[in-house]
Amino acid sequence: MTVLEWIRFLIGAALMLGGSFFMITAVIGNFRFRNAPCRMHAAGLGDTLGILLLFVGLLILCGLSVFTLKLIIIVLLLWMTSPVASHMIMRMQIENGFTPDGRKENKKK
Amino acid sequence: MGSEMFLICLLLWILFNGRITLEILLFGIAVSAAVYAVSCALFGFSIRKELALVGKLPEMAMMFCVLVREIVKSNLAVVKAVYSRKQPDPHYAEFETELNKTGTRVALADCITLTPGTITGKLDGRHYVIHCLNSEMLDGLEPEKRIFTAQLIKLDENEEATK
Repeated sequence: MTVLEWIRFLIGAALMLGGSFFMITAVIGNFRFRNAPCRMHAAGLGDTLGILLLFVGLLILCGLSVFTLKLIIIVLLLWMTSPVASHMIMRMQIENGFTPDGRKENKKK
Repeated sequence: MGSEMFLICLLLWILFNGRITLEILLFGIAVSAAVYAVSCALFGFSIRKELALVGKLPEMAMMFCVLVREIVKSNLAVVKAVYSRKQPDPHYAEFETELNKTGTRVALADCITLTPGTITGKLDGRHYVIHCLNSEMLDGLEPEKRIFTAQLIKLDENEEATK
């Protein structure tokens, strides 16, 4: 392995480790937070920076090829579709009169 | 001219296949042409819109960079909340936007949702309802909104100039 290959390997590995950290934190957050809306924020860690760092790490390790172009498209598609799902769930919560911490509001007559 | 969408579809087809053979190319041309025809007939797709999109590429790249920066910042704030001893205290925040086009309003809602810690719950005309993870996110929403709005206004201005 030449010095440049080592540098590439180290940067790629560091980025993948960073991505794994955000993925693991997303799982921990899902267990730690007590209500569904807050868990959605925790899950967002993996969907955004977690997946970005993992894929950029893979991109650096594998070099530019058809495979890495597919990875870029996967990230872009994920970033376009994931907010829509979150928005739909949150909209249902608001329209059904749930409080920000996911409890049902008691309407006084 | 005007066949950019057809070419993009064909390139995606080849990219997903990972190799080029005569069979893949012929099927790709047929499928891409069908997608292009359906887009024109059903979704109001036009060459002018396509060219306007190409003209906006530098602004879109800038917007992407700003989005990644905001995603990193908000991810770090949510990580802090995950590892803190206290349970988060979520809030709803409401605001009105000055953006005029429906497309850019939806883009703003998407950007806010993509940054963890804030999720767009409702978008009704100019009115947004945002779910914030804690008071720190609530305070950070205003500058975040201002940054994204400025970028989206630039995108809009560029579109007006290309018309």
